[in-house]
Amino acid sequence: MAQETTTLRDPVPPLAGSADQTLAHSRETLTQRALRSLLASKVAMFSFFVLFVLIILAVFAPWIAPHPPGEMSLTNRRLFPIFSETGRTNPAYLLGTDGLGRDIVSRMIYGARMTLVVAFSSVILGGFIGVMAGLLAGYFGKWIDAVIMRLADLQLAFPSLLLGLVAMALLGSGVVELVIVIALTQWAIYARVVRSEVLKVKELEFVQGARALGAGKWRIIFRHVFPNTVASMLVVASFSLAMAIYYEAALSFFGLGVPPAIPTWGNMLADARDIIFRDFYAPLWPGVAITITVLAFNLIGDWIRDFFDVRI
Amino acid sequence: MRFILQRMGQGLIVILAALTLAFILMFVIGDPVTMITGAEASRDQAERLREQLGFNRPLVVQYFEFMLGAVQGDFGVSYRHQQPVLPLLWERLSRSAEIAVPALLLALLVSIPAGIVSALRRNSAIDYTARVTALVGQAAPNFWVAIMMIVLFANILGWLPSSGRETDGGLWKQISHMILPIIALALLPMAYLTRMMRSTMLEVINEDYIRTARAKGAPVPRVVYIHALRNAMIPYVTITALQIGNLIAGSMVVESVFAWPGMGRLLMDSIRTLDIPVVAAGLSFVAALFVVLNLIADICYVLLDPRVGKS
Repeated sequence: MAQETTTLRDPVPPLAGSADQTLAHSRETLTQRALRSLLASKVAMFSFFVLFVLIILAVFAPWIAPHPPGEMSLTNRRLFPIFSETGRTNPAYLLGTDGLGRDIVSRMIYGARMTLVVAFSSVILGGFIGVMAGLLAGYFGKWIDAVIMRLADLQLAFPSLLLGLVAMALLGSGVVELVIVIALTQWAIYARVVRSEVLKVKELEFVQGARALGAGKWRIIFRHVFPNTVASMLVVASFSLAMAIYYEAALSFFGLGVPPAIPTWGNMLADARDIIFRDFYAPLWPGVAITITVLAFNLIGDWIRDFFDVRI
Repeated sequence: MRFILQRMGQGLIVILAALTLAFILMFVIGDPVTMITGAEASRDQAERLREQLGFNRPLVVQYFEFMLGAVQGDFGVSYRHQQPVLPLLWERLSRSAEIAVPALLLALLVSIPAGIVSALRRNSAIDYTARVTALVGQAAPNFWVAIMMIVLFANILGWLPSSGRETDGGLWKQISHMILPIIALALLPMAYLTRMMRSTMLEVINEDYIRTARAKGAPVPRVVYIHALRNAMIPYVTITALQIGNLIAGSMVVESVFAWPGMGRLLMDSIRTLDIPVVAAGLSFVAALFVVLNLIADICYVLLDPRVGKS
């Protein structure tokens, strides 16, 4: 609170020339405001906690996982979770094992790793392409705008899952291929959002001021226009992380994503699908993990959107 | 009218572009001959087939032939089913509709009242329940929900069959096969539309004209259903139209899990086996559907909100 009142009482309003100073000043209060809003929202706290746990699991997977994810144990095949009242159990395998005797808990932990790697890299790549396209389209207008946005329109005419499946079928399954394909299904949304922000910002006085002072167009784009698109970009990014996790799981589930040998939640569901008549626990865990993760990213997106009060 | 015509023109361009995209994806990036013969075929065999099917001609010629055929509805013959693609697609489409139409109706029937009540009784237990359910419903991946429904209702409880489509037998037997796919398909649009209905309704009931209507003493149901709902429906209609596009992605997933012989499953199988003519036709169909739905949404927009289209 104290910080905000001083800002309000600041007797000398910063001049246009000292843009950096105001930025640093407002950034400090922004962090504090963000923290306060975060602490006030149980839902957002829960979501960040989920994300935190996932990152810990992903980073330290080899140390946390009780078994190597690919280790097969012939004597311990198809174990049930230890709390199950029917079927064989073994205390060394908390959630049981799959048909090849691999530990479910360990595969879930390694699955978190692959899920986050694919989700973050595809969102960073897709976001980069989309933001660049949006900045160019919005700032330069004319034919650049027309070409980029019609391309985005065309892509948005198809459900992303359909395009993703077709692209993966043509490329063949693989982690790098999957990241590229998911990134390419997402760029259009960034491009649209960033473009509309740029159109709003580019006629504002401070941009005209920068132009009048002789700033080059790239400097204006990256130094003055781009920072103003960050808020809406963060919102899009957290929702598209949720989408990326879904696509990774769905494409892997249908055999066109991460190669089946690598443990991911989608691949585990695909394996579980064949044995649901014997073992109804098998499809439960990966599905719950996907749901909670997607939910967390959606809620973080909601929170960021409310915090910055952006409309998309 | 001009507005609508303009939109139709734009739509036509999107469809032509989509056909081009389908051509590029399927015939330039992927090589149809290797896909038919497989990697094991000798080079001679492959070349003979290439000549037979006309894939050895210049791409421009192939492109125009593809486009000419596509515009007339001729997408060639399916590699796997050995029959013309378009009739195959139509036949499967009608089976998809058997579950997609009830699913959409179900989503509308639940989401409209749920959204309205949620918005009017903001922060009540009902609102809270509806919001949490919608949030979780949106987060749970549809293929997993479908599997869990099979596990619960078919395996554990044994109430409903787990998969397939029944054509013989009594009415109940036929319907019993449809229930799980319909619900699985409806969940995502239901969750999304409920959130949408709630937020648009919340926006509308805070508008000045609602306060005016209440201030002049109009009865509450009248204010809600005549003044508020009509305006809240404007964004809702557009979004519903776009949700139908997502129903296609949904039916690809749901039909595959429940082994329902519709267009979604046909597309999924064709993609996995690279049955190129079917995939090309499917992509074109989806683009065309998207354009038509957008057009319908635009027309609804004009009908519901007279301000649109006049400016």
